[in-house]
Amino acid sequence: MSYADLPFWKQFLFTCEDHLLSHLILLLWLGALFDTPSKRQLLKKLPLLFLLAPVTAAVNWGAAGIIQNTPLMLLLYLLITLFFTLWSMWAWHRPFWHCLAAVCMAGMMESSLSVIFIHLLYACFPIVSPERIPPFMTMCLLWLTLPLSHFALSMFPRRLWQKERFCTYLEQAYDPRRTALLLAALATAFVALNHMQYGVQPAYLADYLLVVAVMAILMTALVFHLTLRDMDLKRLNLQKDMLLRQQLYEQTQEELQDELRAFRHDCRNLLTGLMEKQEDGTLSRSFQELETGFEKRLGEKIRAASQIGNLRIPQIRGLLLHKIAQMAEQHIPCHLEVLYPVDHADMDTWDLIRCLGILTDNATEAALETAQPWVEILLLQEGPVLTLRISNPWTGNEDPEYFWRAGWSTRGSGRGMGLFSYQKILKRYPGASSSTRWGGGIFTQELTITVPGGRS
Amino acid sequence: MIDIYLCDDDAFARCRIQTILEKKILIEEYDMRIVCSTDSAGQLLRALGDRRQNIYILDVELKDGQWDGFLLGRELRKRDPGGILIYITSYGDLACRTFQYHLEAFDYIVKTPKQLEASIHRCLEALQNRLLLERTVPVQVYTIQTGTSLRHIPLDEILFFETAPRPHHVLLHTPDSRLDFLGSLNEIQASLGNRFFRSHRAYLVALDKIRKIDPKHGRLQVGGRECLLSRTAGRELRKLMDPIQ
Repeated sequence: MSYADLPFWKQFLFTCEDHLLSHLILLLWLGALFDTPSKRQLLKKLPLLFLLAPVTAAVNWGAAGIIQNTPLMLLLYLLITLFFTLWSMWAWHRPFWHCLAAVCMAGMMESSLSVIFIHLLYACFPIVSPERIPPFMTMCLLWLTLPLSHFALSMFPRRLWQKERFCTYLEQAYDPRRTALLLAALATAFVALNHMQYGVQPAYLADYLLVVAVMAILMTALVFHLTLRDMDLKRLNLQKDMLLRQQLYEQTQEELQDELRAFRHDCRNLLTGLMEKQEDGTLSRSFQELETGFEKRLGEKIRAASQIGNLRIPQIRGLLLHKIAQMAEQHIPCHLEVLYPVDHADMDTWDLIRCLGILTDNATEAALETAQPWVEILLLQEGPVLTLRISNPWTGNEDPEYFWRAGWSTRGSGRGMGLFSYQKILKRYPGASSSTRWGGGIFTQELTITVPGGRS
Repeated sequence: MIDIYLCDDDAFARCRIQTILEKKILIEEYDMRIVCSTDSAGQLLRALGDRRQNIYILDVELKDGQWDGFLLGRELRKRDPGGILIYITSYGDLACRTFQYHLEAFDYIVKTPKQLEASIHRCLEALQNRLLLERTVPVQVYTIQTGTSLRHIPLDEILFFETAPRPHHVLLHTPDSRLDFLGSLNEIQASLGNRFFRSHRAYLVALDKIRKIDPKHGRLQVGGRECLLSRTAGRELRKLMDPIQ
């Protein structure tokens, strides 16, 4: 009995099953590329995905009468990609281009590996072949091995993007749109490659499969390499900028020294002149002049310089100088306090910088919405414990409870993403705790980093 | 009678502050007295008697061996958690916020000759108001520790405790904050008694803050926030609420 001899409804059911299976595999790959914010939430959104299988099967069925081969395949591919992209935007709260890139990546893995697996299956179990239909149950069992082997292989990208998932790296990409479109083009090529299996002569099947496998490996390696390069570039740029700030800082230090030298000079002059002035009562006034002049010229500068000087981790000093300069450009007064030297934290320096960057960016953004913006940054090191405290005025328009939900944002997608990434970084550090207060029109984020395990 | 301890290594300023303080206390008939005025942190700590909830007036820029203004404040907080810390600073508008946040410093006295007297008066008046308020309403607090800082949160303000996504972390929710600290809900429940109700494995809510109970969906509205309600806890809660209704 061949496929064409089956009753109509059974044919449809088979197509459905086929589509369902490929969607399941696509989902598996997506799961490997994204990280799951909450499994329960994801499960709730899953049923909608199963509705897609009958829909695409119906389209497949209906459109088959009008168009065939490549156009039909492209139509289905487009439909599935679009649906999955929209669904993952909903499920993972990511911007469109990130989702498209991830879906294309997952699609490539699905189409390339499926070809290889299916042909392996045909080779191992001769009863399964495109021409003959075996008993339904055997068929199902055999097909079930497909998602399982896909799942096993999807562990591989999990290892590749070990620390964070593919999508976190996408956030760092220079141009997510370009990346997504390139990946979409590649994925289309892979779908076409998948389609070619029906035209390959049996004698050349092995060569064809070899080409597909090599392409899949090459493509994964390339994407991995590119994301890493993009990240490095971004990091390098930040470092360059921080170096520049550092130089500016050293320049102010030199200016300060010059001013101090001048002050010492004034002081000596004054002391030599003291004796003469003692008689005519101008003495106390001169002193006052000297003091107020000194305060006005140098007081705040010395204070700020000593606070910044207390930041002994160069990258953190660089970042804060950079952020303070940015705030100055936006006319936001920034008050920095570092009471004791900050020289170590129980956190990877780059992670700490990302946390600090996210918190200061959020504070700046929220402060800008108020009439009188300001930002206050306190760092306190007490032994092994480092406390960061960043406050800003805020309008109080949003309910802070929503801040920690994935994808929360007031405008665009930057802000919610930031807090989400922040929470994700902290997940790796059991000794870090972050608290938030928002009373009295002031929003405060506090991060305490202690040695893990020590409840001291 | 509340004891005042004064510590400043600038003897001239300390004397002036002491005189102004004594005069103000005498005129306003405040129930306070200066028991110790010294230039060294060690001496102050030695002079500290058994009485607690004192007032400590300390110099921000104190330098005395291993002690400075912040560390002395930390030590006094440890020995006298209910005490009141007031700092003396030379810069009025550059008040050290770190002291305020990490030591819960009550106020500042500005050292410059022009502002000294006015700022001491203002400070003492604010202090008197707070003391009067505290005497009438004794506040029960829950204390959490983050890093080396202790935070006292009045029980009345707590909406609920929730286990954080990370192991051993607990989130404390009040109407205007969300505080993360290390702890376990079981321990907290045991220490707080029956004012709080375990509505779910991951939630410990203040009974008097419950606004709405929705057992059908397993939800609970506590002060405008949503908490989870387990089935068994739902039944228990109904039993608890019934006699009141």
